[in-house]
Amino acid sequence: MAGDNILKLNPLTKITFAICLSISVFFADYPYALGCFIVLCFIAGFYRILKDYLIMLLKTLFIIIIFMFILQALFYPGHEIVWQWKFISIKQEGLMYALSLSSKILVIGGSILLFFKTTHVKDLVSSLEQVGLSPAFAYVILSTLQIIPQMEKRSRQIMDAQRSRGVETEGNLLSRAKAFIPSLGPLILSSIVGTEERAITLEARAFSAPVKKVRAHVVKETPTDKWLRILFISLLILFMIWRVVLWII
Amino acid sequence: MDYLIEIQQVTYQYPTGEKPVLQDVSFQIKKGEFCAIIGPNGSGKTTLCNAIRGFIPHFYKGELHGDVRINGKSIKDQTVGELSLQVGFVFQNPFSQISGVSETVFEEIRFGLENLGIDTVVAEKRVDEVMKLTKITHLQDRNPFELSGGQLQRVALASIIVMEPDILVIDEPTSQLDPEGTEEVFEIIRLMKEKQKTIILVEHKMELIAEYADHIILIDDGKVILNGNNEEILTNEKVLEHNTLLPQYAMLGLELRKHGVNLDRIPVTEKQAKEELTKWFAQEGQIYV
Amino acid sequence: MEGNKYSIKADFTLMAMMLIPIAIAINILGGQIAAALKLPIYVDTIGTLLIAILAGPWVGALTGLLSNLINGIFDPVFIPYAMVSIAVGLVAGYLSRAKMFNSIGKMIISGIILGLTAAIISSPITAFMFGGVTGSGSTLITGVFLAAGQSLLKSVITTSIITDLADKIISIAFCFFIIKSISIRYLSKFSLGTHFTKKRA
Ligand SMILES: Nc1ncnc2c1ncn2[C@@H]1O[C@H](COP(=O)(O)OP(=O)(O)OP(=O)(O)O)[C@@H](O)[C@H]1O
Ligand SMILES: [Mg+2]
Repeated sequence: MAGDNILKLNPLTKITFAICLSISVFFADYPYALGCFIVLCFIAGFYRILKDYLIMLLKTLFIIIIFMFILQALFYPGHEIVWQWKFISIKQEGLMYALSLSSKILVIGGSILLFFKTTHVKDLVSSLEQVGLSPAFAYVILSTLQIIPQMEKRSRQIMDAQRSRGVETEGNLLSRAKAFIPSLGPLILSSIVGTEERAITLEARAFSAPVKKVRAHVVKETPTDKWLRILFISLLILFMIWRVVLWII
Repeated sequence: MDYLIEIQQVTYQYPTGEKPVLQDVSFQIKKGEFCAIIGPNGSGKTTLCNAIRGFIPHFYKGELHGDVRINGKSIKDQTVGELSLQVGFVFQNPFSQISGVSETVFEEIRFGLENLGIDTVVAEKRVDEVMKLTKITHLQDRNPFELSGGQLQRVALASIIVMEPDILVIDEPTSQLDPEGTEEVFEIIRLMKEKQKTIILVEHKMELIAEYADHIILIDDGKVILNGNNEEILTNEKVLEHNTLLPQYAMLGLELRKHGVNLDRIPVTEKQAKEELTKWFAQEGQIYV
Repeated sequence: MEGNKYSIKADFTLMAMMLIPIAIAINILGGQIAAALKLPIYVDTIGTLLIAILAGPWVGALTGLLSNLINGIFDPVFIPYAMVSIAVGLVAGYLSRAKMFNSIGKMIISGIILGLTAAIISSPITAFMFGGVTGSGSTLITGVFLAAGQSLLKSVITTSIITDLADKIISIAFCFFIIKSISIRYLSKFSLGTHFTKKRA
């Protein structure tokens, strides 16, 4: 099935696509960008994650876009009034500006979201390590991804313990602000104390041994990946040249 | 006689410390020897381990006077990375001995082999073997962050053993374990000794030291107090003056001697204790019957 | 001993590298806890500030960058603001090299400098990329300034100066208490940690 093949693309290929698409929207108007967004939705559908994808967009970008429309429609300097009520007026120029901006946001944000919805960060890091990212850097990213849920868990335990001990986590601003310190402070301190031993652990596991590491987790790179990347980049360049030429004429 | 590890007049103070934690420490360890380091809390045992592994002075900084030589080569002339090829190090706290990048115990144990550049197929075979040896095969798909202290202690040990260093430095590997788990860990360490590994172990459980160690070093307040073979040290009452226990069999023997019971020698293991008492009963026991 | 020479490489010790994931988690958790407690400020740069103060500007900048990229996995709006986090890390690190976190007065000045840095860099992003909108209640303040007849960029800058100044000063105060509680043994492991060990007995 075609869908199976697409799922196995190298992360670098997917990210090339996302970046090329994001750059291209700066060279055309909103109808093009909206077209790109529809393409993104099709790809999401191809991966069978369209619903998830739209929900995530709704929770992140749509809120900003709606506020932007309100702000721009009301306050963008313009003359063509579309609708008016007392001193509040909505202007055509504001709507157009908001439309142009939000369609770009939708494509850039949408490509990033789609990329991460279809790619494990672990695969991304591995593929970057395969093209020369330093192992120490790769380690930092991977361990961050492991540490965040651990620390979230511990912080939730601490906050629950506080509530049961009667520390006010609701109430007025001052008492809520005061609750912040015991919620985060001890967690930070214990984590900092742990770094020394974690550094030693890493050394004990030969992390800085003077040999070339062999990673068990390897991300495949096929000829298709190479050709697709060349294709995306050339299409972008052609598109940019075409738009610039049109613009100059 | 050639020694594998030579500690030569080592004096060391942590950069933030007020006084030297190790003072003029000297001893030698032969290849294939099982050496136990004993002493009260805070006496400098862990610091000594760190010096043998090269974390002192390379990681902890501070000035290291004297020298630590491994295979005739000073640790000062080697990087921590180079030393990781020869000396395996398992330390006290199991909860911080997680690489932090593995999603499963299997990956955790394989991590060291990746860093050593070992071919993936060979590596996986070695991980499987070590998990069998340390009896943690059933944990292989678990997330290391979710294991108990005892389980982690075995994972930490396995993660080092799998790298097959010639020297193993193991700092209190059984603090989180019940008696059964402790016996199992010692069993693993014994197997390592059979494989000709040189082992340096810090441990408080004296009965097990009596059973397994060849060579014992007692340190207190950063100084070597006693240095000798198993029986020499474990029958020496002086050990008790340094807030350190003797095996219960040795205590029994010493106590009996004080009460005029003439044992040929002070027993240190259960087996010896039985032998000695049987012998004594055979010779003198009748008198009391 | 080390004199006054600093280098990027010397800042990136293994200890500093090990602290980066924790600093990122602190950023994310700080933001979450502040949101859960319904505090009016973000407090989502505590980790970046802490690590920049202890380990220098470049470690701080990297932490800031990664924090925003990781947040961006779930909410791409964070990604352009990586510029702000990088700047906060850099400026905090350089301030720390200049020992600008060693007294209350200096800390307030540092807080103001950092708040202004954040405001100046974030405002064009908010104004030109997101049409003046941020995901938080501060959009309302921007609206008020806009309604009063100010230009978009000016409204956004005024808004973010107010929120960022408060945020950075409070975050620095928090970092100060944390650093005071870290024992000398651990502080001394970071390239700038010694700035905070001398005064203690
Ligand atoms: N990183 C460090 N910086 C400063 N002082 C330290 C450091 N590590 C240990 N010390 C101090 O050095 C002394 C010896 O500690 P060490 O951990 O070597 O003892 P130990 O024999 O292993 O003790 P335990 O049985 O409790 O494990 C102690 O006084 C301790 O406080
Ligand atoms: Mg110890």
